Amino acid sequence: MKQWSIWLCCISLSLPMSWGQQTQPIDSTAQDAVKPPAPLALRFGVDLSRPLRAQLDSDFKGFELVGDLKVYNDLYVALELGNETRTQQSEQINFTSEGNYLKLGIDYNMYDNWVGMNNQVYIGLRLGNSLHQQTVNSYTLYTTHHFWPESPVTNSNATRTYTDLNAQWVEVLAGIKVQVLHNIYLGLSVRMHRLLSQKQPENFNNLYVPGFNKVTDENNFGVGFNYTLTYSIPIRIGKR
Amino acid sequence: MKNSHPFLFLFIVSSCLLWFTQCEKDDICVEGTPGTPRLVFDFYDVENPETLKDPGNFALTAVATSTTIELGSGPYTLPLRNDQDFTQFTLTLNPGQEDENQDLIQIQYLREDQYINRACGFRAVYTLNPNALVHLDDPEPWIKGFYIIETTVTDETVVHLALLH
Repeated sequence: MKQWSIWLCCISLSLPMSWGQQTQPIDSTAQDAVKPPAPLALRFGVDLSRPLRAQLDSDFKGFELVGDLKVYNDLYVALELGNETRTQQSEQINFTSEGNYLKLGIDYNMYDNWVGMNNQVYIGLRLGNSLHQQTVNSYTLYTTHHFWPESPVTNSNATRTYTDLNAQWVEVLAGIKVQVLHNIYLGLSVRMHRLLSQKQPENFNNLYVPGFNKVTDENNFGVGFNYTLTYSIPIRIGKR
Repeated sequence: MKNSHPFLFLFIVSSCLLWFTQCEKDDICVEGTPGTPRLVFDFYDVENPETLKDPGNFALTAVATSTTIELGSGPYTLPLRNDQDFTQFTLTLNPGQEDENQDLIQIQYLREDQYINRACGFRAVYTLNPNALVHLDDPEPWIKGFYIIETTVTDETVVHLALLH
């Protein structure tokens, strides 16, 4: 049981939310584990950080569904689908960005599990696509002379909704998924993304893309993360 | 119990964390970025409309704030209001003297906002009305007429309006 204690210690240090581990008695006389092929497992779940953030931040609304499917030994096909509405004040402009996004890709598990356990430390790649719209709510005009008192513009040719926008990007990510109960996993991932292409609005810019986050003028990089709770549905294929 | 690519994993995680902890770089509106332009005007001879004619001593005041606009030498600039599509000024010839003549004029235009970038936001550009200059209630104005040189006010490099006297 000493090895179990070490394992438990490591997991609770890295993920404060690890609860009991599924324990299995280790038969010391067993041969070196020939891992039985795990059943093809489909997992789906939600991101917990976005609804939490929506509660705390009145300018944000969003949710994300995640899923993955094990297709080979350590290889998973993964997907994230989400929706975000975010209002923010960026320097001179107050705007709202809302839309949906879809990310599709693969995860590669780099972690050797003990028999019967299914934790992951993984890296992955995604291709992301968003469909969104942006609304300019108000802004202050940029002037170098300050003769007239400046008040925010709320109705002009530019304060309108720019619809039918989209963006595409590639993501590289790293994360962990811990099996906390038989079918339930908690995961955390951090991501770096780079914009590939986008459809910009006329007389404005994509300042915030759902799924990609803030888009800066100077470079096309961004970061993001999610914190997920997933449930595994085992699919058994083949004769038993 | 091992991670087969520990360094790659750590690299990705630490790059992301480094990014998070560094304050996201705020774009700065570079000084010198052209902003909202002012109307540029100059004085021409009413008998020879293409010829410049210096009015001599005159003062320019904005009606709404009663602020005098500092003048250098011609051409002169007028800051236009953005909350409405007209701006009123008084042009006073020979202020403080016996033959002082004060003209109350109204400049009329349409405004359109153009996006610059994330940091600077929007700037205004103006299109002068065909009836760009209107006299308000003056039996003997010293500004006898005007003509538009440049209808679109997008920068301060050209003279837009010619005032004839």
